[in-house]
Amino acid sequence: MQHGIKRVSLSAEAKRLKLEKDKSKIAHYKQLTENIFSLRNLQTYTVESLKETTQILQINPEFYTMWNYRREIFEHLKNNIPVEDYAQLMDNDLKMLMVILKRFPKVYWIWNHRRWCLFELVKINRVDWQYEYAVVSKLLELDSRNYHGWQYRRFVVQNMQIQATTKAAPASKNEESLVVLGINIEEFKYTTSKINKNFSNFSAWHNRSTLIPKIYNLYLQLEAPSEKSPDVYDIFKSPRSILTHELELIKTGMYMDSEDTSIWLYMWWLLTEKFFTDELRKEDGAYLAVLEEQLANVEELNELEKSDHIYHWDNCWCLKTIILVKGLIQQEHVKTNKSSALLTQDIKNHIQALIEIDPLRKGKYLDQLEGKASIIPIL
Amino acid sequence: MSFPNPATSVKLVLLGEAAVGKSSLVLRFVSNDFQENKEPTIGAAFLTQKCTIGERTIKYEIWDTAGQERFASLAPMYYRNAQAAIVVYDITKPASFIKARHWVKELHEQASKDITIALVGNKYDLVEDDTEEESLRKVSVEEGKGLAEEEGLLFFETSAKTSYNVNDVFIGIGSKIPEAASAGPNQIHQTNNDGRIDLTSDPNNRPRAAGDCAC
Amino acid sequence: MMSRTERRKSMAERRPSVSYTPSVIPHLAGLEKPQEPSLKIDQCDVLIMGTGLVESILAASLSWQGVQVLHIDNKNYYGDSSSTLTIDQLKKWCMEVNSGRLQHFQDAQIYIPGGKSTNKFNSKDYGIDLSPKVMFCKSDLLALLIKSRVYKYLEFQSLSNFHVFENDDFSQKITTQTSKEDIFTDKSLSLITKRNLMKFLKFILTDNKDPVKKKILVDNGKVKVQDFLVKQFNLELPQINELVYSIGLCINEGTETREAMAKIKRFLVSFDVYGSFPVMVSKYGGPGEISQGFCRSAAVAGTTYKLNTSLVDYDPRSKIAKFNDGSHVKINEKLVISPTQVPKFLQSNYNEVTENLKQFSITRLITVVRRDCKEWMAEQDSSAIVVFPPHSLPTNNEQSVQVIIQNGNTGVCPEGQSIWFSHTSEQDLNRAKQDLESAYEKMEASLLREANADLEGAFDDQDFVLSAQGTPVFVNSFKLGESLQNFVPKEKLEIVCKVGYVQKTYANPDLSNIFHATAEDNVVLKNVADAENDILFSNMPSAELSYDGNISEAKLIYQKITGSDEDFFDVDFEDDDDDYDNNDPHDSSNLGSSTTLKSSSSNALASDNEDVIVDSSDDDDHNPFGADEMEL
Repeated sequence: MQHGIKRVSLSAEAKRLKLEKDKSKIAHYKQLTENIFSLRNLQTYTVESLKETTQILQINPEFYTMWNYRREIFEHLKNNIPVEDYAQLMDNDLKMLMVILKRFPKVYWIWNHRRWCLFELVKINRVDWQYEYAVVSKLLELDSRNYHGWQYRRFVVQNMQIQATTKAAPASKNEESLVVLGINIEEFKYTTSKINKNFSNFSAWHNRSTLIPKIYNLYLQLEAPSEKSPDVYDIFKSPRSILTHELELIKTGMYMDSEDTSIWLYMWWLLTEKFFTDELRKEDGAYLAVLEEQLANVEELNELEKSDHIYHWDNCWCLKTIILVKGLIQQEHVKTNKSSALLTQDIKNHIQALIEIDPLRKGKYLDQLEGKASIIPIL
Repeated sequence: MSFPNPATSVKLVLLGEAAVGKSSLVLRFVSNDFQENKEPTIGAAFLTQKCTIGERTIKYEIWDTAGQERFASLAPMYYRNAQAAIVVYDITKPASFIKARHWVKELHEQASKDITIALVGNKYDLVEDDTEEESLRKVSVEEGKGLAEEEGLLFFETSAKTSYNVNDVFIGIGSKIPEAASAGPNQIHQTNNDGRIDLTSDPNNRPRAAGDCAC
Repeated sequence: MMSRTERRKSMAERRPSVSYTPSVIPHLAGLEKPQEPSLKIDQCDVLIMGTGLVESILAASLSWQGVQVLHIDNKNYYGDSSSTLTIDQLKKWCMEVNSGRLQHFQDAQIYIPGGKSTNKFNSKDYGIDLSPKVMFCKSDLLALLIKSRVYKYLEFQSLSNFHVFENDDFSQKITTQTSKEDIFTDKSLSLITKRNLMKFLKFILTDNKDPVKKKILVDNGKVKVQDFLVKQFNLELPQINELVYSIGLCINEGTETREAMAKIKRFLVSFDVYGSFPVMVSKYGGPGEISQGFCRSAAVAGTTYKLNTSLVDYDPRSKIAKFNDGSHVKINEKLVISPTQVPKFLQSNYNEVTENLKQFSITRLITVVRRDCKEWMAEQDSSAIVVFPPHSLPTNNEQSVQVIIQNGNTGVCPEGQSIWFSHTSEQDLNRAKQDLESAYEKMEASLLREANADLEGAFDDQDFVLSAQGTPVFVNSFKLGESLQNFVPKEKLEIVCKVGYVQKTYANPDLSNIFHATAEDNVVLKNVADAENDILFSNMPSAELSYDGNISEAKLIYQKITGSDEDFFDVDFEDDDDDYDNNDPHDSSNLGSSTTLKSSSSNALASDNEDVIVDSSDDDDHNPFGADEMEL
C-alpha cells in the first residue's frame, strides 16, 4: 500500500478539496441555523430539536439564542417525561457541557447553562455538588487563571455550604460552623496552592481576600477553635496574625517579580482593609508600626530595582506603594492631630517622579498633586 | 442514553507477499459502509478505523508494510506492541501461501506472544464461479485451515473485490482481543500509568510554563 | 516530447520555488494505486547510504516532496551509528570496530561478567543506543515528529530529574530552582537570591529581539558565562553551576555566554509544555528508534529500503551504481553517504574532503546494572540525568561527564535493571576513560551507600540482646535474612554488561559547525573531486546530549540536494484523529471534523454569523531551537 505523493500534481487538487470542505461546513452551519429558527417558530420542543441545538452549540457556543431555545425545550420536556428521564437529560447536558468547556473555557454562555442545569437538578433533588467541585478543580488545573472558572468555583462552594447547612440539619450551631469552616479552609488551602504555583493570579488573590474574614468569623463561632485544623488556626488567631502571615507571603512575591500587579494590589488591600486596620488601631501605634515596616521593605526593594535599572529609575509599583503607605501614615497623623496635611512635600516629590516614569497616567498624578484625586485608593 | 466507552486502540499489522491484496483488503474494510458516520482516515502514519463489536468499540491502527518487506527490511518497530496481525495470501498463488508460512513464523519470533493472528486467503472472487474441472484455486480451504489450526490462527477466505468476508476478519480479530483495562471517562490527564505522554494534547491549553511569567 | 538527448532537468530546476504552496495529503490518497510488485528497481533520484537519524530524516523529507529515494544500509539493522542494539548485536559490533571495519569508531571493549549460569540474560531484552540522546519538550525535532506524524510510531516518557554531582555528593534534583513555584516556596534561598534568579529567568525568556537583551548579549556574547552571571545578575556559584552544567548541559568552563544562554533557554521553555518536566525519552531506544520511525515514514512516501546492502561501484558518467547483490541502479541526482558506509573505492575521496577538518572524540561508557535506580528518578519517570561538572571528580575532569540513566520501564532493559549511558568530550582518551570510570564509581558508591543506610534502618534495639560480656548480639535472624536479600555488598554492583568505545566526529561539541556550516568546516558542503558533485558525505553523530543539530544537518543536506530548504517537510496531513468523539455526548450526531472549528473571541456576542467558523490551522507552537537561537 504505497501512498507516495508527488507534491506538484496534488497541491491544486488538495486546495480545491479543502475549499469545498470549508464551503460545505459553512453551508451546513447555515442550514442548521435556519432549521432551528423554523423549529423554534413552530414551537417545536422535542428531543430531535434538542439534538439540532447540540450540533450548532458545539460549533458555536456563543450563539446564546440557541442556549435559550435549548432551555425552552427542556422546560417543555420536563412536564411530559418521568423525572428519572429528566434527570438523565440534565446529566447528559452536564457531560456535553464539560466537553465544550474544555474547548471553549472562556465562553460565558456555557458556564451560565451549566448553572441552570444544576439548579434544575436541585429542584428534583438530584444535584451532586461534590462532583461539580471536582469538575471545576479539573478545569482550573487546565487554566488556573480563568476568571469564569474561579467565579464558578465560588458558586459551587457557596452551594456546597448551603447544602451542608440545610440538608444535613446539624445538631448544633457549633457543628454547622465546623462543616462550613471545613469547606472554607479547603478553599483557602486551594488558593495557597495556586498562588505557590504562580503568584501572578488575580483570581486566586481575590478569592483569598473574600475567604479571610469569613474563616476568621467562623473560627470565632467555634467552641474549641484550636482543635480545627491547628495549622490554619495558627494563622487565623487574630486579624493581626493573618496580616503578618500574608505580608510575609507577598514579600517573597514582591522580590521575585516587582512588576506583578496582582501582588501589589493584594498588598494594598491588606494595608487598607477595615478588617485589619480596625483591629490594629485598637492598640496604640500598632498600625503605624506595620506601615513603617512595609515602607522600609518596599524602599529597600526600590533601591535594588534602581541599581539594576539602566537609568536608575524608581520601580513604578514600588514608588506607587511608597506613596500609598506614606499617605496612610500621614492619614494616621492627621487623625491624631500630629499633622495637618495628607500631601507632604516628600509625597509630592514622589508623585512628580511617577509622572516621569509612568507618563501614561500623568493626568491622574497631576490631579493627585492638586488634591483632586486621593492618593489612597478605595479598594 | 448512556455515555459511550472510549475506544480501545489496537495495533494491527499486515503481512504477506506483494500483490496478494493486502492493501485492497484494508481499503475495503476502511472505506466500506461498514459503519455509518465513521470515516476512515489516512495520514502519514497508518490507517485507522473504528469497529463496534457488541459493547466494545475497537479502534484499529492498521500498519501496512509500506514496502519495507520487499527486501526483508521490516524494522523491529513494525512488530513492536502489535496486538493483531493479518497474514494474507492469494488462493490462486501457491507461492504466496508458502510465504504466508514464513510470515507466521516471523511473527512468532518477533511479535509479542499474545498477538492475535488471522490467516486470510484472499481473491475468493476468482474462484467463486469455478467448476471442478477448471479451477483457478491453487490453495485449498483445507490447506489454509490446516495451517491455521497448527499455529492457532483465525482463518478466513475473503474477497476484497466483492467484500466477501472482509468485515468478518476484523470482527473476528476484535472479539478475540482481550479487553484492556479501560481508561476513565475524563481523560484530561496527558499521562497514563505507563508514563506515556500524549503529544497530541494541545500545549496551549496547558498551564502556563512556570518560568513563563507575565513578561 | 522530450528528445532522448535533451538533458533531464536537475532537481533544483524541477522544483517550483516561487509559487510554492504547501501540499495537503488528501484523504485516502494514493491507496488506489498499489505499488508495482516487481522487486527490480532500475533508477532512483537519490541514493542514501546509512540509516542513521539524520539520513532517515533526509530520506523522509525528500520522499514526501516527491523525490524517489533508495535508502540502503550495509548492516542488517536500522540506525547506523545511531542504532539501538541488543547485547548480541553489540558484541558483534565491538568486534567489527576492533577489526577496523567500522570507520570512526575505535577502542571498543565489552565486558560481560560471570558465566551463563551466574549472569543470565536474554540479549533481545536490551536496546542499547550507540549515541543515546534526550529530547527537549520544545525542540525542532519534536515539532517535526508531530508535523510528520512520525510521533505516532513512538512512545515518549518524561524525564524530570537532573542531578548534579558536587562536593562528592549528588544534590537533589536541580529543577528546584527553575520554576517560579519552586523559587517562591523554597525556604533555603534568601530573598535577594530569589530576586536575582527571577531576574535572570525573566531575562532569558525575554524575546531575543528585545533591544536591551540584545545589547547585553552582544556586549557579553563572547564572555565566559560564569563571569557574565556574576557580573550581570549577582548569582552565586551553586546557582551558576546548576544553570550552566545541569540545566544548560554545557560541557566545560570555556562556554561562552551566547551558547550557554541558548542552552539554558531551551530547558526553561521546554518546562511545562507537556507537564512539569523539561525533556522526554523515547521508549525502547532513542535515536535508533526515531530513525526507524522516519524510515517508515519515508517508506510510506515511497522510499525503497534495502538493508544488508552496500555500494561496490559507481560510474559518475553513466550514473550507474552497482551493489553487492549484483543489482545496479541509475542514480538521477545524488548519492549521500554516511561516514561508516564509505565504500573502498571512494575512500580516497573521503580522506581528501575530510583532510583539513578538525576531528573530535567522544568517549562512551555504557553499563547495564541490576538495579532500577528508581531513587534517582521522579515518581512518574523511568529516566534521569546525572551531570558531573568540570573539576567535580577526583580525576579533576576538564569536561563534564553526562549520564543518561534509563530503567526497565523505558523498554531498553528488563524490569529491575537500568542502563547508564555516560560520555565525555575529553580529547585526551586516557583521561576520558578515567573520567568515565570515576563517574561510574561515584554513582555506584552513591547507590551502595543508600543500600547500606537501608540496612542500618532495618533493625531496632529489640533485635539485639546483650551478651554476658555486654556486647549486643543479634537475635532477630529472620529480619536479618530479609535484609540481606536486599543488601548489596559494598564491593560490587551487579553488572550485566559494560561497553566502552571511542567515536570520532567532525561535528563540534558546541555544534557551531552544524548550525553555521561552511565549506571549510562541514563535510556536507565539501565538493568531492572526480564525482561531478554527485556525492555528498554526511557527519557522524555529535557529542550533544539532546537532539539539537540533527534537523539542521538534515536540512543542510536537503538544501545541497534540492537547492533550497524552504519546503523541507512542508507537507500538511489531513487531521486523521478525532479525539473528541471519545467524549461526544449521546445526542450529538458525530460532527467529525468539527474539532478544527474554533470560535473567534472577537465575536463574543455573535449570533448567526458564519464568520465565527474559523478553520484554525495548527499554529506551530514549537519554535525550533537551534541556529536562530545561537545567532545573537
